[in-house]
Amino acid sequence: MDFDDSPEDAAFRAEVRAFLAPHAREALRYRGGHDLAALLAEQRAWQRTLFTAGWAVPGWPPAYGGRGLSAGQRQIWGEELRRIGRMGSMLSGGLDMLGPTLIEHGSEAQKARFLEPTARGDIVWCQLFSEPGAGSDLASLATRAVRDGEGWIVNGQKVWSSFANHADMGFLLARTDPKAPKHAGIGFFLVDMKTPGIEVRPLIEMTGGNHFNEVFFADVRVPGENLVAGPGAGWGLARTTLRHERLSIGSFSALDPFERVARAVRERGGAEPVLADEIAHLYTISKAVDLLSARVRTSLARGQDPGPGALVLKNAVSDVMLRAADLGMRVLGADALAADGAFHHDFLFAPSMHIGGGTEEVVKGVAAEQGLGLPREPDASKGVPFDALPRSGGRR
Amino acid sequence: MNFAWSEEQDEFRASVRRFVAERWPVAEARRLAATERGYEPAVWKQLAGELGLAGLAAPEAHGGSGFTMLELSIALDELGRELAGGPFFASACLATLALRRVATPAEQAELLPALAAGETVATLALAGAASPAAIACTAQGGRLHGEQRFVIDAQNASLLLVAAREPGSRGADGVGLFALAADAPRVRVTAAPGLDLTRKLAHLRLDGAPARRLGGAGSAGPGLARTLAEATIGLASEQVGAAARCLELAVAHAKQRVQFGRAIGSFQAVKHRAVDALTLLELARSAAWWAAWVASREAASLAELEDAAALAHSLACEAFEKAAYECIHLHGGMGFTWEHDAHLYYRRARADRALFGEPAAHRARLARSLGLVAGDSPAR
Repeated sequence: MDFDDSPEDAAFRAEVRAFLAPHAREALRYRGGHDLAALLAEQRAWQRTLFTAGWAVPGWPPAYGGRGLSAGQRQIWGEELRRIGRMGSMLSGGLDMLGPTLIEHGSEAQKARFLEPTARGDIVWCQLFSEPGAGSDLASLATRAVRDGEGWIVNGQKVWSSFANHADMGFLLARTDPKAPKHAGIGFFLVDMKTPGIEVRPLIEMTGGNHFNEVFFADVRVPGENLVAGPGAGWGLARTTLRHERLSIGSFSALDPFERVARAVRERGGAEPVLADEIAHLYTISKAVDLLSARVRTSLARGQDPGPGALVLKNAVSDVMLRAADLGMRVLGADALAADGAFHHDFLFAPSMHIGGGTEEVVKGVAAEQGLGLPREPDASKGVPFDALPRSGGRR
Repeated sequence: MNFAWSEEQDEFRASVRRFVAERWPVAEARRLAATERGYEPAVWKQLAGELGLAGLAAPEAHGGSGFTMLELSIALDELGRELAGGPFFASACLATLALRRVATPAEQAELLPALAAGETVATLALAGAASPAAIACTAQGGRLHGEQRFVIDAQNASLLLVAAREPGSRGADGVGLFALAADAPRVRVTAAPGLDLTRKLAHLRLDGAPARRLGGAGSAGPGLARTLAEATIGLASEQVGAAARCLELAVAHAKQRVQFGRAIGSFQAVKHRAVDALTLLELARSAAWWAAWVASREAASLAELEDAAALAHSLACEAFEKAAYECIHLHGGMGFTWEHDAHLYYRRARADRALFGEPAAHRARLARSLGLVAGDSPAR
């Protein structure tokens, strides 16, 4: 056990830091009112800078333009990006999710066509998974892909698609076989967002910002070569994608939200004892979340099962964000009454934390079943053909 | 960064677990709770001597194994699972650390070998005090006066280490560490039945008892503060072990207990309770391991150690109390009976919270060092 860098890690960190130092900037925090098109243009330019220097996709294998970094090195890379104010990106769907999925499951032609432009930031990807009727139970999705000669015709509706209104391509889950049980009849498609029949409607969230979109498909033609793996392989691929999404949060520190609250407290010359106690409590939880996530990463890096701790991280992080938002608002005192303030976006964003990426309840169910070995809830849809399942509102 | 145990440490953990499961499971801890001593001398001899646990924290030169807080915390974690160990915490952790931090090399060479071999049981009369500034005894001309309440395993100790204040001193200055035999004149040790049935406590009354000062005059304050921080980190590991066991017991029951035609563990409401306990446990475990690593580095400053102890113990208290409560709750009415072990853990969980400062006191310390309190300058 050693929390200090090994000599090799220290050398790697020094190399990364030297490369990144000239690119430091003030951390940009998404506050809901940003000009996303301008933000994306800036992030694309940064991605091209990284690409030219060979740092665009350091976690990908060298054969696909990456550096094949170990989990530990990826963590250092993320920490150093965070230091220069570069964490989170609108390009993440391609860099952290679609790219690794294609590397694992795509055909050679698909890899050759999509990986390099994705790494360069030329293709911005959006995820097209959730639907109005398929949230926590994603596998019950109803968007259909019907074979038409060499290609497919897609009809249906997606929702909660991040930045779809700025994306060039989307990775889509659609039902290829309604007669199969729900997990079996799903395909994973790569869709050009400019294809006729696709309509993107931005959603305005309760923060007032626009992060998500609804995406409608009316007789959208998708070429056959854009199906990844087989027509029934989509669910397995989606799991790969979501696993990579979870792995990509390495540059996040749960102490960041605490630090923002602490800074506000210090600017005001301190907090009264009850509030100080709760903020210190936030510190203890946040520090422990970072430590737990370090434990999980160590296990993953060694190819070991990270144990049940990995399954509780998502909810623990969400709790930290909720607590920090609440405490930040309390630190503001009467300034919280204003229309906008240092913690207003966090406060308004907070209720989404336990919904997005798996609701609190679903995540707890997974932790109980996979982490503690508690028996599964009886599933009424198990083995039943998709088109025989009941739908929300009593429809079939 | 590498947040994992070495192979040797994993093997060490497995060997302690095997021994405890075989010789000192919670059923045995329960039986011993009703005895005066709370441990079986023959088993203590095996644990302390043959397994070498009593000397974990003692230097090799003094008959110990010269390990760090990492190995000590593994042993405490494993003993905590079954509420086992008897005087281990008092003697191998508290007293041994106090001698290492305060006594001169010559005094250590004289006193530590018997502790490391488990032949002498010692304790430190400082429990209940969150800091050396809150010391109850005074020293005058080599004689000790005062009463220290709730001294861990004082009734089992033949060697008493007493923190006492020298006349006219204040705060952490002027605190000395004194050694005396439990059978010395004008020493009264009175067993104090505790909320926690599996940890023995006693009140210590000193009415001019002759004692020898260890280390230099009035210089024990910083060493004792370090001892307390280290022992608090050790306690956090013991709590984590016990919390993990509580959750295991609760989950095992939820898997096999059938109501309404299914295992109760398949109900979401039951799962969510168990996962809430799991979450606190995994956070506390991460903090306890990290704190043990901080304490394993001799270069760590006292402030770093105290911050780490505050973090680890406050989270361990939350995790253990939650797990102990859920262990009762998920067992239903059966968990509320005297016969079930759940209340032994529940009692331990609450008592551990009062040993070295409440979580709120730890957070108050952290709030100061994080610069959250008006008038205090940030320490970092």
